[in-house]
Amino acid sequence: MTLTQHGEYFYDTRRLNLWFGVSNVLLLVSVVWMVHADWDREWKGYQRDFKSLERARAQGELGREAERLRSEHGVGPEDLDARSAQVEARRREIVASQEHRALALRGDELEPRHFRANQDYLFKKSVYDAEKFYYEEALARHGPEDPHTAEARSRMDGTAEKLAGLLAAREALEAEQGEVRARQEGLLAEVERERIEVERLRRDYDRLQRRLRALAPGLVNDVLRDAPLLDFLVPSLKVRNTVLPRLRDNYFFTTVQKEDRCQTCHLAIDSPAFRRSADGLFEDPHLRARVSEMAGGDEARGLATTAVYAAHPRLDLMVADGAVHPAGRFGCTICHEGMPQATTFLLSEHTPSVSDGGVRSAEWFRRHGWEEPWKYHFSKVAIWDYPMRPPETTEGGCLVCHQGGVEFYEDAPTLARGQQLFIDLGCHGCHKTRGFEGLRKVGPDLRRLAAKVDLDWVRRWLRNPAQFRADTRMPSFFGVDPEAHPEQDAVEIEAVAQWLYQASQDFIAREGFALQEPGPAGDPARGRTLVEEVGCLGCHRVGALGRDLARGHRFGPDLAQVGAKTSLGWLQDWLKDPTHYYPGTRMPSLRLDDQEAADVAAYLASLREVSDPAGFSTPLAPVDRALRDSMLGDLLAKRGRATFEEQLRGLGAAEQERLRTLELGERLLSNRGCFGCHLIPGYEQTPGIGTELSSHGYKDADKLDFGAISEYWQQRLGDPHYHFPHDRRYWFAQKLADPRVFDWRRERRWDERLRMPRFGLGEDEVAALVTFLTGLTGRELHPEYRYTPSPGRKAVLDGLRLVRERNCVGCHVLEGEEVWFRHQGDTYRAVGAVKEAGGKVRVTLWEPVQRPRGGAVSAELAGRHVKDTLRLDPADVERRVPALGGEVYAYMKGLEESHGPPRLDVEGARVRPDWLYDFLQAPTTLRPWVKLRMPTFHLSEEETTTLVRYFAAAGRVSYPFVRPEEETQAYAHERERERPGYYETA
Amino acid sequence: MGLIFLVGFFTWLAFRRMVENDRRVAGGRPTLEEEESRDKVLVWPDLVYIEFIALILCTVLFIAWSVGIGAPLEQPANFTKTPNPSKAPWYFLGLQEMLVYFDPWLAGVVFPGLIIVGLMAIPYFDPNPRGNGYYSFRERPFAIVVFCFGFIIMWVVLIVMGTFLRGPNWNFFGPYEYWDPHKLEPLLNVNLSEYFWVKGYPLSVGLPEGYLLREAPGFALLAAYFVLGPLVLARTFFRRMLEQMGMARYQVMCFLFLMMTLLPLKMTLRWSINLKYFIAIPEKFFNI
Repeated sequence: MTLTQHGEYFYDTRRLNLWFGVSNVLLLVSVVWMVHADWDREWKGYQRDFKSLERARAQGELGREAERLRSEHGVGPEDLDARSAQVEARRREIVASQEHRALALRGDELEPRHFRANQDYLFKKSVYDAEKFYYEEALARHGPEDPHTAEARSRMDGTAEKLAGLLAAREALEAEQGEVRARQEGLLAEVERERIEVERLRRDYDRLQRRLRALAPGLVNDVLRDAPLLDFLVPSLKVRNTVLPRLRDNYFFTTVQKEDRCQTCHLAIDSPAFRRSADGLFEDPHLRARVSEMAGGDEARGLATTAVYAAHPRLDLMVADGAVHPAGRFGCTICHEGMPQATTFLLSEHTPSVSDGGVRSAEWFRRHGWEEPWKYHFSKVAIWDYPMRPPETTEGGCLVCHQGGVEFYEDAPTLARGQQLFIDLGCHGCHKTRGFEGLRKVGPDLRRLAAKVDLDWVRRWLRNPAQFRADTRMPSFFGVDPEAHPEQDAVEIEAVAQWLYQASQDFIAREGFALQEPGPAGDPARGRTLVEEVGCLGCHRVGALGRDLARGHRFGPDLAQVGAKTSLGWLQDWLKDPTHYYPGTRMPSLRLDDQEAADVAAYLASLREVSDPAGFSTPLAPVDRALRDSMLGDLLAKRGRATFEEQLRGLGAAEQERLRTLELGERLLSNRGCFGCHLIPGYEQTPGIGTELSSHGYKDADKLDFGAISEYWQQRLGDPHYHFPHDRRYWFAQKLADPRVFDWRRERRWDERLRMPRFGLGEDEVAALVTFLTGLTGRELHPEYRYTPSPGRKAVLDGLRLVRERNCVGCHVLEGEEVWFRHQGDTYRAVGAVKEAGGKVRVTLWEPVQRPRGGAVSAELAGRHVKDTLRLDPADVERRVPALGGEVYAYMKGLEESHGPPRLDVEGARVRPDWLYDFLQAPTTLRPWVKLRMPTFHLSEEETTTLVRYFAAAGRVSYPFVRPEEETQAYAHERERERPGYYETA
Repeated sequence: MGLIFLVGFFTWLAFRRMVENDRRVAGGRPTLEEEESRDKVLVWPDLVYIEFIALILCTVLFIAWSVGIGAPLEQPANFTKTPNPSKAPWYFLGLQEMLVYFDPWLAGVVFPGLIIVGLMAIPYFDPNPRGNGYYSFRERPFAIVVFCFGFIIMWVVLIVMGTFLRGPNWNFFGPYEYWDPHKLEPLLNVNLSEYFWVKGYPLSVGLPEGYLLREAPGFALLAAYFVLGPLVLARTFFRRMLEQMGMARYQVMCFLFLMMTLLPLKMTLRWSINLKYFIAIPEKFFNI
């Protein structure tokens, strides 16, 4: 039995039809939605907006061209059409005249006749060619005498005669035609000249107008080509892919070629017209106006829009086709990182600046729903280990290819500073870092410490070095933990000081000096004059003398308080020959005689300006013996308890007491890694205690201990919702600024707490170091991408490293100041001495002016020679690169070059390399009237050669003459030693 | 997501019909299914048309769902960095949850095998024709209770737990608790043998040398469970069942049943007294 409710069916068919209809409509809607969602991509919006910017730019150029026409030729664009029409009318008038018409008629008449004559001639010519062939054949086969030959010949000759007649007829017609044409042209000549003139005037204007028309919105270009489902044919909006087959990203199971899609949205990254000015908006007023229109007057939005379409700030180096690193070869993400293939703002992992107070991230949040990915375990931002470098640290990307060594980066100042700080502060001492192995230890030699300073000074210095000398490079080891523990600090200071002091080796002063009984009595006043005159100020600030420099540029210590630290005798010995106390010192010898050394020592010994006298003289906290024993017990429990107790057996109480302190001191030394920076007896070769940093730039944030840093900041900021970014770069910054803060509210035993000391770095120093650290990626690269300098460049780089290491730059100018300026639309580079006067930038040239990216120099600039002065408008100056070296000129007022250290920018071209070699090894007085002295640096042969090569390369001497070994004194001595009389017998 | 609610809905629906049917049977009326199958409807349009509409609506739903919620793609897998927590596909999270309580060979091999074999064996040891083709609780209370326990509690609940409540390091997190990867929970689990020989009353003699003697308490306990269990049950709860099924079928059913109950027993023991293994012979990779 069939179940029925509605007629013969169970269900109401009409209602089912309704349901069917509704569900079909829903299906249609959802399919349309799907197609739209697939079609509507974020990047298309950017490309559409860019079209409107391009229009604005073309409009602007058109306006400028009109302006130019008006100012240069006194005609407006509206006049151009009128003039063209005028010319055309006159031309027509002439063409319609009686005379011209008669000529045209005549020309028309001649044309068919010429055609006919020409054809006759050509036909006859082909007959002649055929006859000539037969004649030649007959000649070759039968010889000249044969009748066949004669017949062929006469036939050919007959045709040739006719051919000449036809040619003459044709030429006569051509001559007449020419005459008619010339008369026609003569009639039109003036009009034609005018037409060409008008065309020339309007050529650029017309071109720009055509472009504007092409950019104008249109149905086909803007709608049909990019319509959903049609856009697979010839879309005007498309993803721009830069494929880099040799730059490979490691996807763990395989490597894949980089495919950067950044230029899909950053469309004008290579276009100089989209340059930004200092306020972050476009230079071009038309673009600026269009952006402001697009942003509806919202300033932040305008800045964000500008940022999308801005040109790269260094097109001479990056992106552009002629640049050193064109985008076609390098792409973007090898430097900037981020997700290469992504085409949305979020998925490409843009990272906000860490130093703009969150302004940009707030704007981003509003526009893209961006949120700090570390805040939630479910985030809209994809998880990618290499999010884009924050803008301040972008330069770290240079190190990805320029890896594996010490190098100087004039185009990456932040990175250069970071690297300089890394070396100056001795980070490499504790942290092994590829490319930075084997550098000298940055701290002084402590092997003969007892001869230099007394024990109490060592204790106070250890407590807080900056109290004694504010600019010291030695970091603070005590009072750095988030929770203070002065009793423990007192025990550690005492133990380390005691151990260092007792481990100090005997020091015997040089002959003629005794530490306790100084030699000749010195005169402090004469000493002061000497300090000012002989060149101490090239490296040191001595009290009020010399200038304070930022860290990273400082070389020798400030000597304002040296008298409070060491003895007169030690100073004399040291000044006479620094290598006597510390063989590896960078301090050169100024070849002072005994009296001079005594005078300078007397002056230095009188300097006792301790930076924080009250803090430094605060009494040291008493040592809690029970605490010391418990600390020693903790360390002994790890190893060596039995041995140590064996040592103590049978000793008196006082001696046991002493040994306990010393044992703790030596163990603390290893625990704190003092030998990373200092030469310490028995620990000269011990490796540093820090983490290796060779690939720290890619260190996984999960492997870093963030401790309770979020809670720490929540408390400090009073913001319970603050989350510290779970990102290595922010961790580095925090670590460098406050190295032990990750121990905050963590339960750890005293010897298991963090050990990195505090360097008292400023915010900019931290940013520079983070930039450098994030560049240490250890990334594997195709050899093509690994930077290998040319031999000449390598010589310069090695040399630059050495001149900084030896502080040649303290006195000598090694490279002039660079000024990049715009001239007639091109960028030029001038090198020399720069002054600002009368609202102009005046460059006294040391080199001829050049184009940085190569190319012809304009005639005007090519006429400027070395020593000429360029007067530049400050508005034309694009950037200035400070001079390298010559700092001493700034300290010593009124020092002229004739009395000061010589400029060395072209030294290599000026002197013979072998002379330079000898001079560097043992300087001699060249200018007796000069009081400054070139010190003796105790350079090794290798170092000297490096310098000679550097000067040759920097002076652009192509083949530096390297002195044959046989010519050197040393070789001769060696030969003489091996075979006495070697040279006589030769 | 939908499945969680669908399981609930269909369970409710089945129980509703069971209750209704039980009432009807008690009142001497035909069951719902009997009544419904007395009449026939036409395939077209009463069946196919409705199916077609349902098909279209499902398509709409899936399109809307897939456009509305983008697939969460992550970066390429890195074999040096396992995700924390590492989770199996959702339908295996019940199995993964079992791994917390049992040795891998048991939770990963024996139990899944037994589940499949056991499900295949059911028609052979359960020839009871009642309840075929209609819902009824009163006629099949044991089967339904066991199913509800074994599937809904043991399988579905473990999946839900594994999906939503297990966080980094497979630690247990409350529904709104932050998944802190550094959270530590003490994992101080103790073997039965240690309870017996070391911590137990009255003998506290230390672990014996040989593992057979050492693990004797575990062997004894499990033997008692699997041997005495069926006997005791046969005398008490399962008396009627033994009569109906016969000894062989009863033994198989009982073994499977006891295996199933072993899991919640072990879980309870783990939570209450930190029991690690009944039998722990790491020397032979044999742990229960």
